[in-house]
Amino acid sequence: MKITSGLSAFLHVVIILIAWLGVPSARPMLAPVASIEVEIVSDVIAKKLPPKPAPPKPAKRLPPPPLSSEVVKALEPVIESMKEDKAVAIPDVKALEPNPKPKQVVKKKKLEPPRKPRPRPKVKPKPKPKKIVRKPPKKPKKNKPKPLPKDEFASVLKTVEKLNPRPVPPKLEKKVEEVQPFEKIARVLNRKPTARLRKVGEVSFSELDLARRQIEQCWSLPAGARDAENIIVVIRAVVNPDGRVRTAKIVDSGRLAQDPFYRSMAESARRAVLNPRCQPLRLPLEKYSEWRVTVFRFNPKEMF
Amino acid sequence: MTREVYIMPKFDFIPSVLVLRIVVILLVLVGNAAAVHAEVSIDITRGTVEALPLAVTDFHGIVAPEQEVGRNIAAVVSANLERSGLFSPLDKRAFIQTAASLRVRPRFSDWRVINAQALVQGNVKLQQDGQLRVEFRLWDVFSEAQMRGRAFVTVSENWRRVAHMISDEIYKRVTGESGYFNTRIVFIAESGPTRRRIKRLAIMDQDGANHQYLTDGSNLVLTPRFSPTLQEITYLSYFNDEPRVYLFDIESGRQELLGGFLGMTFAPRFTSDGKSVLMSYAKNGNSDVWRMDLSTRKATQLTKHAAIDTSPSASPDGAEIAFNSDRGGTPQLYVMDGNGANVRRISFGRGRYSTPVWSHRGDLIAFTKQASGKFHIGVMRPDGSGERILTESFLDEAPTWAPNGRVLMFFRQTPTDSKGKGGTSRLFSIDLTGHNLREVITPGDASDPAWSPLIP
Repeated sequence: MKITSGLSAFLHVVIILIAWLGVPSARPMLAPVASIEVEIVSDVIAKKLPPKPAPPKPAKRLPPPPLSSEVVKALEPVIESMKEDKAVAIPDVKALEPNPKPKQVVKKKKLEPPRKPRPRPKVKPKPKPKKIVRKPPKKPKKNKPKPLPKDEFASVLKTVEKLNPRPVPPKLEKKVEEVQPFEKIARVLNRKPTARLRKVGEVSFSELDLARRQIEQCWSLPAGARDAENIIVVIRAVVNPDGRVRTAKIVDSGRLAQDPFYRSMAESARRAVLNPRCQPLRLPLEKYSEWRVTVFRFNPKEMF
Repeated sequence: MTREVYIMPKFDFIPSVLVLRIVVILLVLVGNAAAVHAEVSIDITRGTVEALPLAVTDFHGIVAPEQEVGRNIAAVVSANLERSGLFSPLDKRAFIQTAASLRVRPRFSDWRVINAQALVQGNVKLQQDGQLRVEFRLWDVFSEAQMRGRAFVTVSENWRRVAHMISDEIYKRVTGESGYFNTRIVFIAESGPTRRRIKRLAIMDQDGANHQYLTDGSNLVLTPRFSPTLQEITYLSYFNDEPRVYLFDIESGRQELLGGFLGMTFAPRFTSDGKSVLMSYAKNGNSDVWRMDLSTRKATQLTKHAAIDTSPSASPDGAEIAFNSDRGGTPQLYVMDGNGANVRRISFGRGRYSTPVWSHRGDLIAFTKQASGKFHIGVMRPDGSGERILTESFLDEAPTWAPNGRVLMFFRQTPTDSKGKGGTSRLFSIDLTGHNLREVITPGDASDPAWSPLIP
């Protein structure tokens, strides 16, 4: 005990001395700044949120709960714990998720019930608005009458048409045809053996050109970036039938962590594909099955 | 395909409903396979060079002092990023979501609506121990993911530096290159009438804040250069009416004559390791490039030529030195090995070249060029290729690189008119693309800027 307390006292003195001697040399302009990574918790947030089909809507309805002091309290510990206690933070974040089904956090159950009923109704409506465009095709499956879906579709197309002039009538018919599930399957089956041969003929280069120009307008790459002309970024996008991009993924994501220049350019490319300003993509609507998955290869070689 | 082969026979004997289901599953599988084949590929070979629209929200604080710091930090970050030319911060009045609700989570749709592609939010907390804790997060609005999150703890007077560090974090995360906001500039502050001009050494933050004078102006001071350690400045001052190279310690304010040369020494510049100073030494009327080792104080002559050799600047690895010489008839740029061997000329354009400065990233040499009665700041590769002129004016001079090698600062003088008016001298910055020319605001006239390395 004596040794340890003596040692402790000695160390305290040393620390005080260091602190004392250290102060005079510290100038305000260059005073030390401790910097701490706070990435981990948010990574958890980030990982969870992307899968949600429509985050905007839950978010819009979320604000009411934050107003209550309890929710704010629940959040604060998360932020506090970000730096010191990564492990603790994770469950807290989970608790904040709109669909909190976790059995854990017994104490918080009192808080959660009021939330649970809200998020659930929210969650269901979410996917709907996004899929509105897709639903017209689905509805016809259930409700056989074709005229109705036709009308709905027509209205969608008109709005699209206003934005981007395209030939409408042929698409309408083809779309409705595609809606037939078995026909679609049959088509796919029929196409398969000759897929490659047909593909070239089905979506022509000139048809892709419009979409290419659209994305080019939205691709803003960092000025003066080093070696940008030697980097190729491939983005794989899943596109909705109305030409709006549903998801866009950087194909070579392994390189993101290693190469900051690649990451910078890859992210600028992904922003271009996701930018609502350059959507819907002007692709031939009747050939949706061909461009449902569109691969964009970004390389700014023409800019250098 | 292989799955089909295995599965089909297996379920051949199962009742028809199940068979149907299996068939459907198979068809879906086949459909997916076909969909993979049906990808189209689009090559994007050009884009635009536009600033990234981003929203910098006031950092959230609970009590009034925290809120004030939060607003100030957001303002400094926003101004820094805007000045870089790579970001275009959006008007705060357009923001829909409040700073308080941002703490819960960004509503990305609210930010997409106002065309923000990135979002910066943060919190400020004054801790009980008096320390300031600032936390920020950078979000990608389209992909709805956090790009960067970091917390800083420091004394509360240091909020400006924290704002610069946050700016650097954002810049680095988005562009892939390190930033240059947490830096300082030393320069010559000029005041008084032309005949009795007072020139004082001054220092300020990269954005013009925290300006202070380091010398009182009793001695003429010129061409200050930062040491890579940030602690020292080397410059030219006059001693007994003769120009001499001095070392100056920023913290202590101590000035020291560098070396016991018998004659003029001028155009000093630290090597990138900070261990020696390159300079010109005029001996018997002939100037050559010398290197002074700071630990041994031993001077080594690097060039031996009857012409004027001056303005040496070492490459980042120290293996080569660029300098200015009129050995070819007019002032041109030359590069030699670190020991003075293998001298080769690199500038061949029309005009007179001077003040070569090697970029910190090693890929370019900046210079001053005088041609057709105008002055220019330009850059070229170390082998002399790829010359690009970035500026043009009555008098542009003395380029200095930002630590990331993407921005240059220099000073620009305007001519005096017949009545003796005009003739101002101001600092400007320009980016490597030749766009985004900005005046760096100083309290008065200024010349000879020198950009510090990043403050750690």
